[in-house]
Amino acid sequence: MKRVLLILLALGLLAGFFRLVPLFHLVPLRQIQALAAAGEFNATNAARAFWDEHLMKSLNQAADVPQVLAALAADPVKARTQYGRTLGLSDSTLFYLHGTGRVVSVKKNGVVLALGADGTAADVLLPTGHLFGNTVRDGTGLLDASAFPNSQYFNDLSTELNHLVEASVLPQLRALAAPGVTLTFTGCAEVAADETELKPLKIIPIAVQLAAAP
Amino acid sequence: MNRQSLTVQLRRFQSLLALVLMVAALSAASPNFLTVDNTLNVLRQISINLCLSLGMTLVILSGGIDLSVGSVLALAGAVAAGLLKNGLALPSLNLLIQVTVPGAIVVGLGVGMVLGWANGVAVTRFKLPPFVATLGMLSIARGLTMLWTGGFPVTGLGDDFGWLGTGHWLGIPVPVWISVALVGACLLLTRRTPFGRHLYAVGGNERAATLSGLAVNRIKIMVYLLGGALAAVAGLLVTARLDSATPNAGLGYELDSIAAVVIGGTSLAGGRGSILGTVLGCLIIGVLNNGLFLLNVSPFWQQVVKGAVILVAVAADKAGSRRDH
Repeated sequence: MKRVLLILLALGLLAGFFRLVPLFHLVPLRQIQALAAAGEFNATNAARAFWDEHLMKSLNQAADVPQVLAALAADPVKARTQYGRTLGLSDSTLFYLHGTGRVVSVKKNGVVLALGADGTAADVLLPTGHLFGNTVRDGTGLLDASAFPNSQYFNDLSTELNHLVEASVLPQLRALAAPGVTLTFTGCAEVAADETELKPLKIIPIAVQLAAAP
Repeated sequence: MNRQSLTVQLRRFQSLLALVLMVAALSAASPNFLTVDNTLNVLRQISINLCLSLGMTLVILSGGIDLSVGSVLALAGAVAAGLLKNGLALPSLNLLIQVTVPGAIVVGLGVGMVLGWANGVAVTRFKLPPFVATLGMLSIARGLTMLWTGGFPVTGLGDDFGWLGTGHWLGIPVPVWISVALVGACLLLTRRTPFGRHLYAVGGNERAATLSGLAVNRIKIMVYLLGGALAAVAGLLVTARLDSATPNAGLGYELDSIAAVVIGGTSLAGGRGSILGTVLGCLIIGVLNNGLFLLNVSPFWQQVVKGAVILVAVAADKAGSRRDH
C-alpha cells in the first residue's frame, strides 16, 4: 500500500512538473504547412535580390587590381590581410577586385587581359565557362553564413549566384571580348595560400563593360 | 611501509600516478597545456567520453561489454534533434506534435534506454554473448540513424538546446556539470545501494550470484538499460555542442570508452573496478589527446600512442592480477 502511494506521489509530481515544463505542443498540421510554405527559402529569389540590392550597389567597394597585385608581390601576408578575406579554416584568400585591361586574347576558357590600356602581358583571366565553387558568394564579404538557418541554404545561394554570372555576365563578356578592346571589370578572385604565380589572376566577373574612351 | 604494501599502494594509485606524470610532462613540454582555458577545454571534451564510459563501467563490472554505445549516441541525438527541428507529423489527425527542448531530451533518453534494454534482453533472454548482441545493435542503431536522418545532418536546433553543449554555469561548461552529476549518481549507485553490490557480485561470479538468489537477468538488463541511457546523454551533449546531429556521430567512440574503463583499472572479466578509476581513465585519454594535439603530433601517431597506452594498462592489470593469485 505504501509502495503504491509512493508511486502515485511520484507520478503526480512528474505530471505537475511536465505541466509546468511541457514536453510538446499540438498544432494543426495545415497551419504549420502554410507557414512553412510562406517562409520557405527560395535560393533563386534570394540570389536575385542580393544581386540587385547589394552586389550591384557595392561595385565601387572593390579594390584596384594593379594595386593588389603589386601589394601581393611586395608583401603577400600583409596584402592578403589588407585587401582580402579568409573564411573559416580555409587557407585561401578571397579578393573583391576592379580593373581595366586590354584584351590580349580570347581563349576557349576565358578572356585574357593586360592591365592598363597599353599593356601586353597576360595579367588577368576572366573565365567564360561553367562556374563552380563559392568565390562569387564569399569574395565580396557582403554575405554572412551565420545569417542563414542552415548551410544548405547558403550553398544553394552560391550555386544560384554562379548561375546569375553565367546567365547575365558571361554572355556579355563573350560578346564584347575581342583582341585590342579595352574592358572595365569587377569580380572576385580566390588565391590559394601557396600560390606565388599570380599572373594571369583568375577573376570571376560580376560586371563587365567597354572602357570609356580616354 | 614494507615493499609488498608499497607495491599494493602503487597498484592502487597507478592510474592517478600516470595522470600526474602525464600532466607534469605535458606542462613542461607545452606552455599552453596547463592554462585555465585548456583545462576547461579538456574537461569539456572528456565529458562526452565520461558519460559513455560510466555506462560502459557498469556493463563491464557486470561481466559484459557494450559495443553499441557510439551508435546509440548517434541515434538518440538524431531522434532528439529531428523531433526538435521538425516535430512529428500525424497527417491522419491533421496534427503536428511540436516537441520542446525538455521533450526532445526525454525522447532521446528514451531511445537510449530502449536500445539498452534490447541489448540486455538479447544477452539474458536469448543468451547471446554480449559482444555479439551489442555488435548487432551497433549496426542496427547506425542503420536506424541513417534512415531517420536520410544520411544528412540535422542542424539549426536553437540556442536553448545548444546551451546544453556550449553553455556555462559558474564559469564551468554545462557538459562538465552534467558529467560530474552523473559520476556522483554512479558512485552512489555502485557504492551505496544493494544494486551496486549485486552488480559486483554478478560480475565477479555469476553462478554464485544466481545460487545466492540474486535476480541476475534483471540486474543485467538494468545495467544495459543504464548504459544506453548514459550513451543517450552523451548523444544529446554532442548534438547540442555541434548544433547538429550527424549520422556519423559517435563512430568509434565505443573504443575510447572501453579504453577509459580499462585504463581506469576495471577488469574486463567483470566484478572488479570503480567509477573513480574510469574518471581517471577518461582524464588520461583526454589529457593524452589534448597533449599530443598541442605538441603537433600527427593524428595517425596519436592512434598508435593511444593503442599502446591501452595495451600497457591491460598488461599492468593482468600482471597485478597474477601477483594477487
